[in-house]
Amino acid sequence: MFGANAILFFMFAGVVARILIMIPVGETSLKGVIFSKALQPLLGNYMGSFAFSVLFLLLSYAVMYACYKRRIFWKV
Amino acid sequence: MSITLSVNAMQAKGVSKQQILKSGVLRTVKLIALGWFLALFYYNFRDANFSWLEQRLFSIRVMGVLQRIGLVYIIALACYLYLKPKPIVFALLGLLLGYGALMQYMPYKLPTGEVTSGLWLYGNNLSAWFDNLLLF
Repeated sequence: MFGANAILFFMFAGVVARILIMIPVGETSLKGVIFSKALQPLLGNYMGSFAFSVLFLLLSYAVMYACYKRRIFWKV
Repeated sequence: MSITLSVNAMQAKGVSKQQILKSGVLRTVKLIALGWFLALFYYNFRDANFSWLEQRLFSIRVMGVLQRIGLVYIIALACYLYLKPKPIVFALLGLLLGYGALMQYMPYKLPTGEVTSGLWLYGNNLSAWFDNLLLF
């Protein structure tokens, strides 16, 4: 799923990651809140950070899988 | 990048080398444009002093990941189209060894004025020196 749609995956990850740090929530960003209010208290510094990566990867995979199923490929 | 797959398929359909190279150039341009888009796609809504022009556009990292992939792609494509396998192997070894030798032995100047060579440090090596030379 990632290999068949490498450009879409790279652009998706880049854009969504930037959106997560751009959305302001109080003093920090949406990404900051997800980490400091949910993942870090639950899992600690390192595992919380790791969990964020895994969640982001799962989200990306779900989107790429949906595109693959619908035969949507971004060819450059 | 599976150049072999796509080029062989196109050549089987009778597409000329020049035509393939042309679409390759277009692909490089698209990759570079996408890279620049990602570099510019950020705005700091929380900092009142944030200047998108100053901090994004004017200090853009010209050669990001996608931009490099675009350049490497067009060079690799040209090699595959116009060189036989043996010269490609020589080109590969030459580039690898040449790059390694330059990184190890070519002297360069630090910002302090000191001349050094063979440092393989983060942000302090011949390649980084070359990047900075081109960017500023």
